[in-house]
Amino acid sequence: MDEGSIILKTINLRKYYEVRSKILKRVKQFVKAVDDVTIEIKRGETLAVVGESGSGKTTLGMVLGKLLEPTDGKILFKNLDITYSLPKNLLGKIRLVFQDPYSALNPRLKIVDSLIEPLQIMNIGRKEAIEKVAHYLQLVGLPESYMSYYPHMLSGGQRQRVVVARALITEPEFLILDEPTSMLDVSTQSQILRLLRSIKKEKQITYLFITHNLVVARYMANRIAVMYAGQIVEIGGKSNIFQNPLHPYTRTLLSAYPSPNPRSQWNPIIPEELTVKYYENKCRYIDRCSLKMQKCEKNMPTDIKVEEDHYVKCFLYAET
Amino acid sequence: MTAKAIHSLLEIKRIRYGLTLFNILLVTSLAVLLLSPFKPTETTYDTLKEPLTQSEKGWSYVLGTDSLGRDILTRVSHAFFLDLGVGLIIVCISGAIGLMLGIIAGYVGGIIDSVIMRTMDILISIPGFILAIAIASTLGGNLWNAILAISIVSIPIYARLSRGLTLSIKENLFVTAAREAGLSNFRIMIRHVLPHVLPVFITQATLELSNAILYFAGLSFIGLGAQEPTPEWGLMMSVGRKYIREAWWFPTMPGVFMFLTVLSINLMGDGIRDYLDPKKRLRG
Repeated sequence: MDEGSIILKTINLRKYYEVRSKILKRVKQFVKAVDDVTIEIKRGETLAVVGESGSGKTTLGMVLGKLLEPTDGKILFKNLDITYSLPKNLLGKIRLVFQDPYSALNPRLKIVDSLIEPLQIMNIGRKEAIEKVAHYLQLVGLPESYMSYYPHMLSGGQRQRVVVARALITEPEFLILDEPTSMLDVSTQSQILRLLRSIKKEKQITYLFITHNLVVARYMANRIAVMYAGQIVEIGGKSNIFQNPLHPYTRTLLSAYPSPNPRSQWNPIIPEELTVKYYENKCRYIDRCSLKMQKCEKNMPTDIKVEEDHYVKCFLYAET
Repeated sequence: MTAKAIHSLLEIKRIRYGLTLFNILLVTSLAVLLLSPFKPTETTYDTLKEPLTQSEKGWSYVLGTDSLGRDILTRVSHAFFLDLGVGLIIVCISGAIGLMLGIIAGYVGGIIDSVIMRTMDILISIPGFILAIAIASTLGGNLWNAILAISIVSIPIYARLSRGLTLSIKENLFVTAAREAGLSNFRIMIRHVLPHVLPVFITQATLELSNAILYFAGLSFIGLGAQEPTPEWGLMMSVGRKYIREAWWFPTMPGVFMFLTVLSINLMGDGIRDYLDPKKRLRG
């Protein structure tokens, strides 16, 4: 397959959580963690998904990683519908790296046993599997001897390397990284990020990089998707988003990050309303938006193409 | 690693005392079992002899004889292995079933959880010993039926315990990670949940072992467990009860043996529980 072809595509993907009343167990409301998400991810690129806590980024990752069943919609992987079941030959081709390296490894299993597990599912013999474990440990920059260690003997950064190795060991084509560095200290973060970039170069893997850290997103990604209330409100190339942020929410996010230059002024936009409401017939950002118009009260904005590879869900940019 | 664990286990007083007591009983019983000239079921004309009466076979009747002239020490020692063995069998059967049901209920959840746990609630709502009597008398009084009855009665304790533990273990990210790696639910239960349930489970099983022994002796006492002439503590006490005025040692000795055995097991069980509770471990 050629570079730039679409490896993963979602069509109107939805994942709702039901909130039930205490006594009668009737559905009171939905939390629309992922709502009507349609994205295309090209082979070899890194798409960063950014957004605040509760915006649905992790749920999106879990649905794509087949850990949660979507409520509605479709996931196409290499043009095959994998929404509900993954064909046998695609086993291990989509993998997920978790945020918390401290609890992602079973404390009672040696590193080698943790790493070998995904291979055993694929009916790979033990001897061959152990050779692979050694190879992948080296790839993530750990000595082979760590195989016989227990997780508690490793530091956070080392554990995260093990977790990355466990994801890579099945030779995935698509890797979902769910805030892989947010639990690590800053010096370790950069090591892991550099490692992830070099692995990507070597193995030609497509990344979906979930993060709330815009600096990390800028370092890792080719494209950025901004999520708010389960929707992707703005998506586009990295330079498009960072140099020309359009959606008011994207601007808020960008302004929230202090500049490393101590002389520059920092004026973050702090919204007054912080609860997220899942409106169906008006813009979901309306409670926080300082630029809201009458139109925003009546309709939900849809994707508007502003320039090449830059879409935004906001009426400010509608032509009519 | 294991040697270290054993060493720190032995640092707890209760475990040391319990283990010492248990070993004394074990060695005594084993020695009597192997060396005694008396047979546990062989009757003689030396009926209701006082402790330390000299016998024709060279040994004295250390703990006296019963109404049929059998040496009580020999019978009590045989009963030690019988009762301990029965206790272990009960713990194994009920423990294995309870553990399995509990892990399945906790891991799978939903309707299966409700069905299993409500059944356990029904079992637990009837007093254990009464239910055991009911089951044993329905099936007919013999050793194996008593084992079965007590096993059924003991299942809910293990099921509840392992369900609770499973519920909290399930929340760990490594279980989700295993699911992500494509492991089947069965494999996750065996590889990731079971090893975390086992330590607590074993503590509970140790404590339950003494209960099982007491229940079994109880059933035998009322005639629903072991039958004559099997040497069994409860049965011996039940027969000896009638002779308590003439021969106090007849019902007393099996009782003392049972008391010491149960005490030693309980001490060990409590000690292991303390060992697993980090707060108590600090105090020693």
